[in-house]
Amino acid sequence: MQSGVRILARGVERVYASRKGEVKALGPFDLTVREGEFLCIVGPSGCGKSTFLRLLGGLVRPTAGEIEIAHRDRSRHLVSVVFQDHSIFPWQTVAQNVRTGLDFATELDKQEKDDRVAYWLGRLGLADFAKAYPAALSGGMRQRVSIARALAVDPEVLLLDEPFASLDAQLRTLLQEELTTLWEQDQRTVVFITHALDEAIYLGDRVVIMSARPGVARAEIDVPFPRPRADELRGTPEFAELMQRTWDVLRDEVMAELARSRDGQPAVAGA
Amino acid sequence: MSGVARVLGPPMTHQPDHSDHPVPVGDVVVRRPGKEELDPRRSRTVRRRYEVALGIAVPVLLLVGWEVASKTGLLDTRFFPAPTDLWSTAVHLFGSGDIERYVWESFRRVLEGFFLGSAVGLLAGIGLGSSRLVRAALEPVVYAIWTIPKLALLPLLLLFFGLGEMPIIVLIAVECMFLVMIPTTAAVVSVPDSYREAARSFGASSWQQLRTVTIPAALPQIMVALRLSAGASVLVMVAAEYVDAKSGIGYFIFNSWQLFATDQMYVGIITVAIMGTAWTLFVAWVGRMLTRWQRA
Repeated sequence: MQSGVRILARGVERVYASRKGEVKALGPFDLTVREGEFLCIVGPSGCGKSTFLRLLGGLVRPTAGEIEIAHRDRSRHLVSVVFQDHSIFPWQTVAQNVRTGLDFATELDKQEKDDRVAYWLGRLGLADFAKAYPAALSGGMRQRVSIARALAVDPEVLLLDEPFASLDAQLRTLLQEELTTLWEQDQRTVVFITHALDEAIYLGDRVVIMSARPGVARAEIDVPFPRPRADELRGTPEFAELMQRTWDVLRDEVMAELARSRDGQPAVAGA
Repeated sequence: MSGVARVLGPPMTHQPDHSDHPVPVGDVVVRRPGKEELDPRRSRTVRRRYEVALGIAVPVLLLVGWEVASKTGLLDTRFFPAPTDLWSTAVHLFGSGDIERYVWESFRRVLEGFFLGSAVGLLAGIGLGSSRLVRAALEPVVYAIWTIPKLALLPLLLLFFGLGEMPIIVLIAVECMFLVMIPTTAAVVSVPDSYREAARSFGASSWQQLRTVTIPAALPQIMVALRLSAGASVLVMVAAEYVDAKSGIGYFIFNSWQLFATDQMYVGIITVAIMGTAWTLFVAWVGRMLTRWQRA
């Protein structure tokens, strides 16, 4: 693997067995993620983008192809995942949730864990909610907990699977801003899955557009906007133009998926 | 203020037209807060008081009705002794200390059977729930045995263990085991994958996943099962004591029947009802304490 490359995926495929036979959810999919890059993957629903993230996270194995992920520091946790929802544990308080990730992934002593929990709760504005149960929190707060839990273990790579998809538009904008700031401060390699183009362009250094199922890399866009990125970026003509160009590519794929779902092909659950 | 766009509708120049409305033209319908809206807290307290009062009044009325019917000869006191008579019998029985001993004896059997059976049921349920292979192997057998009425096993258990404590406790345990095992299996199977994936993404071991995710996630359903099993443990205890005991509250009830001491029988039945209620309420309370996170 070349230096400067963090993730290298070649010919990755995932096939699911369903009652009607086999459904290919993904691939063959090729992708290179550079060290310290914020990469966004956009695609129509059902294109296998979440499947790819699960493969990266080691939760599912590919049925063909190979993914290489550089693990530079063996003492650190390799990847953490922020899921869409239903992933922080409702039976644990906010602080316990963040702590649990540390318990699983690290062997720090108690004091260090306490410090990290306190630090990340503070960074995400959760300090006052440390002892609250998730049931008492809003959706936005819960996603903050999920992000805090993922970052507390200090992973080499952070994976986010449509983390803001179930939030309302205002809250989503706010959390995108927070995430940008957070990332600009620590420059970790990030793979961010989303179906929202504006989100991908606002957050990413590079955006990969996937085709309809089975998803392959269809186009790649280098996002030229300098950092730090402020919220005002969204209102600029350059942003609008890039959105339009990207949408032109994505539209064909969305149409293809629509046409297929009209033909009554089986959908892939969770893909 | 500049920059703030204000959108106004056309000014109202005339009364709204009610011509196709049951209210005649010129009449004004007013919606205003009633008593309840003006003082919501007070009306809630009042309603609450009514509810509590009704909850007490109805049973008291029933008891009074029963008392009157017995004293006037409307009810045959050989079968339905008056509540006041039952009360003096109860005072007398509890004073002598026998019935207390019986209550504790029975409760000990309930506890032993319940804990033994529930523990086995819990472990088996978690095992069945977490492994497809174990389910494939054991589920048909479990369901086949489950359909046997457990009380029908008592003669068999008497044969195995002879008269005494053992058959009673084993019978309670078997009943509790099934009542806990089957819902626990279902609860473990239905734990959303997303929680387990979250744990796995941090490298949690199987044991850590079980302890941190599966069991807490399944706990609400497991506690419901334990509550049912607590109730059933009292039921099975009484039935088993009818046949196989020289002590205990079930024995006391059955023995009172043989002596045709109806009043004693009632005292026994009411005692066992109170005992069962207290026991299930306690288990329910433990469950609520363990699943506090469910409340927002």
